[in-house]
Amino acid sequence: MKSSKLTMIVAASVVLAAASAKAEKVFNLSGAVAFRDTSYRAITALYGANLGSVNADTPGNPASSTRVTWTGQIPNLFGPEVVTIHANYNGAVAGIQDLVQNRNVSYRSSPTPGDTNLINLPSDLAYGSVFQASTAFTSVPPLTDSKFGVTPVFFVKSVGTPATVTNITRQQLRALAANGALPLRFFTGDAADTNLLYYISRDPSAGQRVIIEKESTITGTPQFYQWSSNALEFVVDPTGRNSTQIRDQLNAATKPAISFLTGVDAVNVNGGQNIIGYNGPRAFLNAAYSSVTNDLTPVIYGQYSQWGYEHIFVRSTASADLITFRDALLGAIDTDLQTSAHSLPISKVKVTRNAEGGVVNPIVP
Amino acid sequence: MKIYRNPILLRRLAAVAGGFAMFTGTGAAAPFLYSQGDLVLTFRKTGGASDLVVNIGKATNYNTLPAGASITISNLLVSHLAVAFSGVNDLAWAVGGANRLGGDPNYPVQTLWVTRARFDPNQPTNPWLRKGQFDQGATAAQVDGVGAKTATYSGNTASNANNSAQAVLIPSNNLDYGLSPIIGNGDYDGSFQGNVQNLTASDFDADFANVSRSDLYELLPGNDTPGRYLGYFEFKPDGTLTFNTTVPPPPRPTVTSITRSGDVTTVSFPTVNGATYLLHATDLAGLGTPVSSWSIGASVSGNGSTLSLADTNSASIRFFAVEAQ
Repeated sequence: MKSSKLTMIVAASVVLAAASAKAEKVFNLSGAVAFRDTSYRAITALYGANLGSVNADTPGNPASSTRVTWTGQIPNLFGPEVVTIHANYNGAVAGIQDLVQNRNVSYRSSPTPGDTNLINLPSDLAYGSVFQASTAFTSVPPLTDSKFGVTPVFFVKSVGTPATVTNITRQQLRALAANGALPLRFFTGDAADTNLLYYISRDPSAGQRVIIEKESTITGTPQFYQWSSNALEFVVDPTGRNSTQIRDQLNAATKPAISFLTGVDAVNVNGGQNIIGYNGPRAFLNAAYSSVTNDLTPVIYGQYSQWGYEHIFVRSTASADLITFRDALLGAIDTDLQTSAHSLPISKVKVTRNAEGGVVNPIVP
Repeated sequence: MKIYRNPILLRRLAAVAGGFAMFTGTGAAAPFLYSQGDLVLTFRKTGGASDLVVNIGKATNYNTLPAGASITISNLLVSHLAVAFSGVNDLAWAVGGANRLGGDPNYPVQTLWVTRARFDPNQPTNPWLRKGQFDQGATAAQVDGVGAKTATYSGNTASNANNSAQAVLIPSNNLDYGLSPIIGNGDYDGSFQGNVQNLTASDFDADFANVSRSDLYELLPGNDTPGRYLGYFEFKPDGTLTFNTTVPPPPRPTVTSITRSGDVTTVSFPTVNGATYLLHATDLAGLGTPVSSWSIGASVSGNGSTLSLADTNSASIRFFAVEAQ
């Protein structure tokens, strides 16, 4: 009998050891493009020295990549278990749709750098730059919403837009979005400016698009163009561009155009010098927008209102592990945002609002 | 005037509503189909729970009809009206369409097709004016938004009998897809020169002969010149809608006064422009014969005001009928 007991104990130990070796936490992220750089740094920081490998679309600039897959260990959260994180920043509205409709998202399957194989998996957690209620993808119960930051959205002009275009008002934007292109003199006040100024926009799933349309109460369907590098002309765009495409087109277009970007992309349009004002003020006080640090006082205190909260959404049925990961991610993001050039941690913002385009109210000191 | 509820309509609506309740949630429905140049019919009601949006086909199906045509708008179902609204009274309805970038090359960008309500069903409206391209572009964005946003809502909503390729009921309090933000007070959120909506009377269903009419205009971008008149939509208390390129028949005249002086009897009645009025008369012996066989006296052309026709006859008893042509 003794020997049988001993055999059973050894066998059980072997089974438990085998189970531990195979255990892995996998978290799949999707959602807002605007926050991909902070997300990259925050997740990388969670792994710390225990990061095994990371596989990004753009190895030379992984923080700006759309798809990233990490693997390694996060001991303070999950002990020795391997933690693999897939990310695809497919758009703020798309991320919410992923969670509500349990959609599969395409991720880099392997954390091995350079491996371009993709895998379709359901998203667990989504970054959002809009409230769930601002999208068509509401749910009962609603997604669990954790707000952690504020990111302003800028209007940015193309390199082919004259220096006399320094601002766009809400009314000008409504007219521009309705028509797709308007006479340049509408923006400069110079009768000699007979050329057209074109509008470039994001696709409908973009949170940034929701933000600027809500802010300017655009209720109809906008029309927009894209720059053709072949024709060296603007052509009608039936679908909208992503942020990277807009950045590149604003840098290439030799004719006047206006679009919108967050700071992480706007800083790369003519070195950040093509950001214009919205209804007067710009979102920052420093003379030139920087990739290192910016004084976002107008956002903090309410002079500049075209911004959106940064959210992390999970389903109300999220597992305990996912909640643990989310909470740690929120903490890491808050740390990163303290020195962010393009976003503000929510603790720094002295105004509040309850919806995109909603009234901005000062927070009682 | 005796007012009575239209029993025929109420029985139709009740039966359809009951039938709808049986079939709610069954059957697959395709997402709302919409593309530029489609005419979209909208119904709204103050305090109503839903807005109704119906695709009634390409504007080019309407702007080439011959004179004298009358077509029934079959995509509008009585069942949808019954579910969305408590009746056909106090309904705001309109039709709109737009041609924008990438649309029909046969029409200028920012061409609009919009209705204008007749306050008097028998009096055609003054045309909407053709405005500049960018001016009409602002409205085109709203008009197109009705169809495009309905299609988006439809595609993201579970299929049911009220979400089909032709018609969709949208919760009126939906800030993103309800019609209020897009149409506003009927001027497409302040972008259009006037209110495109027609409002049925509070007692519209009291008489099944009542009609609600709106004229349809085609507005190519222009310079404050009148739009092109295409015809008129006619909505009836039974929930049917037709489009007509004919001039509507004049209303049945109502004798408002009759006086006699000597052998001259003067009959007065309100008139409308474009109609001709004839006075039929007979004596007691002819009362049992058709009015068409009575003698016809003088006639008068309508001018929108109350006019009179006179009959000279010594008979002590005369019977009169006024005919409008």
